[in-house]
Amino acid sequence: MTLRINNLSKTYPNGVKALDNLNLEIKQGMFGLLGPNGAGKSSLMRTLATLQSPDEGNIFFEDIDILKSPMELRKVLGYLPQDFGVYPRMSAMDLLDYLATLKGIASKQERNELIKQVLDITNLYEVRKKYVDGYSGGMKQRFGIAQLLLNNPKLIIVDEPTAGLDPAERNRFLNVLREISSSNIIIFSTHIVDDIKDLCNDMAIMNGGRILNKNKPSEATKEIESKIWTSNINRENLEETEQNLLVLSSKYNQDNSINIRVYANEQPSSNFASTTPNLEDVYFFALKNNL
Amino acid sequence: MFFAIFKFEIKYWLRNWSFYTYLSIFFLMALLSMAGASGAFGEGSATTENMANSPMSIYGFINFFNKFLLFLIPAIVGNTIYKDYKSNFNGILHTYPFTKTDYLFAKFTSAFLMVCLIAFSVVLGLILGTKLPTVNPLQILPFDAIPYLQTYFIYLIPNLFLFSIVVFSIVLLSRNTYTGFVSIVLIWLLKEIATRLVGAEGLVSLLIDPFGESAVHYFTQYWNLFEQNINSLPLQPIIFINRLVWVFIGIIIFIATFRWFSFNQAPFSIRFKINKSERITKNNFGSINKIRLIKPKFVFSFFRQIKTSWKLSQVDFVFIIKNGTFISIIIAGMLFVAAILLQMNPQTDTKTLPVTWVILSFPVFFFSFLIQILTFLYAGILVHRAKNAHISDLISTTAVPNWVLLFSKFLALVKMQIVLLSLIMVVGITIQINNNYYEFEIQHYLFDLYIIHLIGFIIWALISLLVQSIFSNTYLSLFLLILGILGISQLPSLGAENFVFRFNESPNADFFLKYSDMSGYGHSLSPYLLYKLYWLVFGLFLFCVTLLFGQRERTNSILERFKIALKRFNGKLALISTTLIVSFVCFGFYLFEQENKDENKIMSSKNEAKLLSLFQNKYGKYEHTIQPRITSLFVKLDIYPETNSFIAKGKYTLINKTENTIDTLLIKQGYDEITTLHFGTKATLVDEDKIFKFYIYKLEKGIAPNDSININFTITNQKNTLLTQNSNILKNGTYLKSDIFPRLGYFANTEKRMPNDSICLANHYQSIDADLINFEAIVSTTPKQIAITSGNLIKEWLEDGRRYFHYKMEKPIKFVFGFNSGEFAVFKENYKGVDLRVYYHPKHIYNIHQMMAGLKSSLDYNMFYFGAYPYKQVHIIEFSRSEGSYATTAGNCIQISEIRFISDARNIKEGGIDLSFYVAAHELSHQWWGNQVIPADALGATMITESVAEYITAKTYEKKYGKPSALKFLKLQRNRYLSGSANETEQEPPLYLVNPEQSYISYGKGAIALYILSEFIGETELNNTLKEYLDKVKFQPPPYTTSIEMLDYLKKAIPDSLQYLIQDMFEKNDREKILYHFDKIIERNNASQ
Repeated sequence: MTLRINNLSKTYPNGVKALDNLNLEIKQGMFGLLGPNGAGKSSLMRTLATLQSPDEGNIFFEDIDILKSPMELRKVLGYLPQDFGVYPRMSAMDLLDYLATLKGIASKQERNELIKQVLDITNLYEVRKKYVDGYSGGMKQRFGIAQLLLNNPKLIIVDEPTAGLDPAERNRFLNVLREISSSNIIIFSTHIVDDIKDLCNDMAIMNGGRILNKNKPSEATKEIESKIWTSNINRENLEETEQNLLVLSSKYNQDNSINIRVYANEQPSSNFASTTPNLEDVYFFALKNNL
Repeated sequence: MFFAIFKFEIKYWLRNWSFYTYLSIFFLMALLSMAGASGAFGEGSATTENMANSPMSIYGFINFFNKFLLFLIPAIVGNTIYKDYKSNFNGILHTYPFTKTDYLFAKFTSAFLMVCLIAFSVVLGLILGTKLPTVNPLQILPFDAIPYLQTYFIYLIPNLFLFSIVVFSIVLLSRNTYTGFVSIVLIWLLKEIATRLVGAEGLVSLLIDPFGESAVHYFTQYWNLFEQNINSLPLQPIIFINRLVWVFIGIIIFIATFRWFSFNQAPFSIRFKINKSERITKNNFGSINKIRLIKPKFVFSFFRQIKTSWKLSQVDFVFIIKNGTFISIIIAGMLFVAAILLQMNPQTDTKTLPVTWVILSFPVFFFSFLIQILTFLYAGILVHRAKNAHISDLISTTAVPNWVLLFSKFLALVKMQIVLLSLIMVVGITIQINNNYYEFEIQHYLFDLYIIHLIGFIIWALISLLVQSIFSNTYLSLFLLILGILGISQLPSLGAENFVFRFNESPNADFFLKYSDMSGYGHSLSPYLLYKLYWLVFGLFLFCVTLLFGQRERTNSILERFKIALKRFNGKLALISTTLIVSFVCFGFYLFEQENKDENKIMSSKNEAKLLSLFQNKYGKYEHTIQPRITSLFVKLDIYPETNSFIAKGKYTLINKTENTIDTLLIKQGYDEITTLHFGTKATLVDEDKIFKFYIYKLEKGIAPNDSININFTITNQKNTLLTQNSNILKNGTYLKSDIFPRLGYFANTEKRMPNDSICLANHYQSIDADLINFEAIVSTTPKQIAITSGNLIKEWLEDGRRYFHYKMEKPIKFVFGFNSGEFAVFKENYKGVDLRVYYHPKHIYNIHQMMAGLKSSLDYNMFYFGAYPYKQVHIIEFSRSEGSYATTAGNCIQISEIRFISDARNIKEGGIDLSFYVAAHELSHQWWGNQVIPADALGATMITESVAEYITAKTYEKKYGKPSALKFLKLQRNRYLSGSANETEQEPPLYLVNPEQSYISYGKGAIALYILSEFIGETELNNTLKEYLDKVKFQPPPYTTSIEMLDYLKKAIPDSLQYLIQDMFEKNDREKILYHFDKIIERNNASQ
């Protein structure tokens, strides 16, 4: 099962180049798309989900040419957008029934059965009769998954799904995704590095419409092995340090000193200690290197 | 803070392209309307004699645009509030440190100012409309700013203020522009209901109208043309009070809203159930689950898609129906329909029974507009529903095809339309029951509402879906669609008269009002359905276009939408849409050809006057050519109701009653018929005008004085086509008039002469080619029907599957007769030696007794005062209302339209008008006044026939029902005279010079004038004088009598002291004097009660 993205480009009327000759190949399993806000992740997600057309390029999912035959992809697609609304005054059951009908499930019996199952999985069964427009943020995201699962999708696209969820919800959400990733492709975009770390068997870092780095998470950290250094400095020295070194990240310590992590081929000074690179380092390095 | 918000809002609107769109649309509409009325687009466009920019005219225009502007208010005033909520910006905005005073006042005044600006563009458009270079300077008055300012500030601004406040408050309450829009519809409906229930009299009715229209109408309704052009707007105190009252109401509403509103509250909603409050906590802290889902079957077959469409449409339909605002529209709509139906029978007029076709014709006419608007609106709400709920991403990524989604919305709209149409049936049946009328004719309701009307609404649904799919702004699309309706109605005046161009219109505009219990829809049904099919094909094509351009994927430019449309245009969609448009165009060519084939088409309204004057120029020299007189007619007429056709074979005997030989015959044939002539002597055709069917023959051997010739002729109707029926033969209730027969002489002289002009005494008022003729006819029809014409029935028999009737008139009659055929029941009675019969449609049993009573009372009265009834029989015959709604006398027959047969006379005791009694009595009086006294062909002829007949009828009515009832009827005549006088475009003539068309004078004024005379000199005295006159002139050959002669008799009977009455009422055209006399009689009568 492969998703091939070739030479994808898209420029919006306001001049922003959202996708810049993007190439990507994604295989079965969980694929993480990491990037800052404005990187072009949502544009890519929407294009994959047949919601938008690129200016150039093509996309193939198995043998479906997505741009020429979007309807074929929609039959096996599950999509959870970053932001969505619902029809007011409809219960979860009714709305799922509506969406299941749209997805082509003909038999009422099968629909009812399936709806019950997805509500169970997302733990919404108890509140199935309540109006979805009254759900809390987490419940709404779970509803989003529920509707996504209805048509047994083979390509699942989730756009920044964990933003705004409490830790338990986030955990559960990611577990559900992991469970269904075994026989499908799941692409999920985020700017939370931790989400990718444990779950994804492949990932890419994206910014400015381009892929900066594509690698398995474990491989990616290996690449910058022994090139990451850490130190504590005073607040006043930060700007100077940033000018001299490639500072990846900086954080306040309890005593108001700053802990910085830098990328350098060699130890920059005696104040710096070598440290194991983490995925965040990979991420920041990719971003800053590209500037 | 106020100014900051105010300035911001103003800037927002000034930067908004929709503001400029509205501004230009209104400006242009005003400009074009005024320009058109000023004759800028040619003669035909200025339709009245009114000055285009008289104060009343300006008021009329601004009032019209007022209604339009109302629909703009939600888009501006509503939007100004709504956009804060829609963008969710209110969460932030309302925590800022400005007061609600600042906020509400700033928001309202800025939006209201914008509305006023757009309203002002209407004024500018009107002013500039008179300044266009092509206007006709005779149609406009010099520019005066006063009426514009008066109307703008006294009527327009207060109305806009009131409605803006209402919309503002409601949108604030509900956070939804849609409810603001609906509230306008509701207020309008409520106003219509209230004004109908309250009636036209009294203080309340003038105050209850928020538009201030009823007040203006009250003061100006009887202004004549001159006054309408010159007078400035009435500025009576009551008008100002009305304005102040409604502005005050607006202010109160604003204050109430102001006090209720606070920044941190939830929108207002009405709860019918209080849900139990529950405490809900999360309980999903477990982590990893096994996910095992069933694998359902996915079906994408066509049949399944249809079922899916149906199911989705149910969701949308329920969404529409369950909406509180829609329910309020339904309730208001029902009240509105009820109010209209109640108003059909106002207290002051005659009542009609609530027969099903009556119920259907009036409400549907008014209700249609409401259904159209709701279709436009809900098309938008449904199309944009997913986007507004932000759920479109979820839906667009499912595998549902575009056509399924669009079709489901279409189905939902149609279901909504069906619900609205059902309202009419529900209310209609309720009203029928309420009036104790139980013949519901359910299948008629069903056919009329769900087949005839629904097709039209379906076509509107199809185009609404297209417009709403193209534009993302629901209200802009709504606006454009309303503009579209306006545009379509203007097509004829822009030159596109053919119906193939007029979207969703049908060839017989008054089709819905022509249903007859006797002949059904007649011939108008097939052309109607044909054209609806034509536009339906186009509508389906539009559906395909919507599929091409409808939004599914996100697009950023118009170009992208075209690209996507191009991509979608393949396979089945391309095939279907191409087939549809090609069929539509071919169909259109065919219909266009059929329309122009109709020979009568040549006479369009603009052409007719021109062609007539051409004719008069060419043939005017024949005006005084002496012609022989027709002295007898024998005709065999075969009527074929099943095929709507007839064949007539007739013979004229012509006698030369002059002292010179006649060698030229001028013959005008029936306009819609095919006539062949055979002369009894050799005749050559020397000239002809095929348009007017006018032929000039030279006789080889002229007709010597007192000699006679025969002319045999055959007449058939032109072949009936798909679109036109060329004969007046109906499947039931046929009434064929004598205008199918060829006539002699120069007919194109339309001017009537003065009665003292001796030339006109040679002819009587109803024909120039005959005095009295011997009449004999054999009429045949289908066995189930009875055929009747003037005369006594000599013989009746069946032959070869046809039924024959042989009639012969025992005395000569005028050349005025008709032929009726229908499935009749007969009600007969012999009274004082006269055989009285009423031939009626078997279901119309309601009024036959009153008609019989009318005949008997009239016989009593006329025989007592004016002599014996000249014939042996009287036939009253009902004819289909598609032939007219009048009554007329021909020989010993009285033809009465079916509409009189369904009068509701059940409330006679409470003082209603017994119209069927009245009509029968009036027509019978013509047997003396019209058939015995036959006036000359001059002005004032109808004074002798109609005025006297009306007077006699008032008297017989008085004898039967008492003086107060008779006076009530005369008051209606008074109003008839008054409103006719107000609409008079020329100088109003005195009664003795009345023109036959001016029935408001001959009937209205004449009835009052003679009645007043009888009150002054006594009934017997007046009647004896009339009898003297009648005895002198009855049945006299030419020279015929005139109104001058009748007045001479009246003058002899009146003492000198009362001669002024004759002058005031008969010889002068002084309106005030006669009304004064009449009102005095009323006063006197009230005093003596």
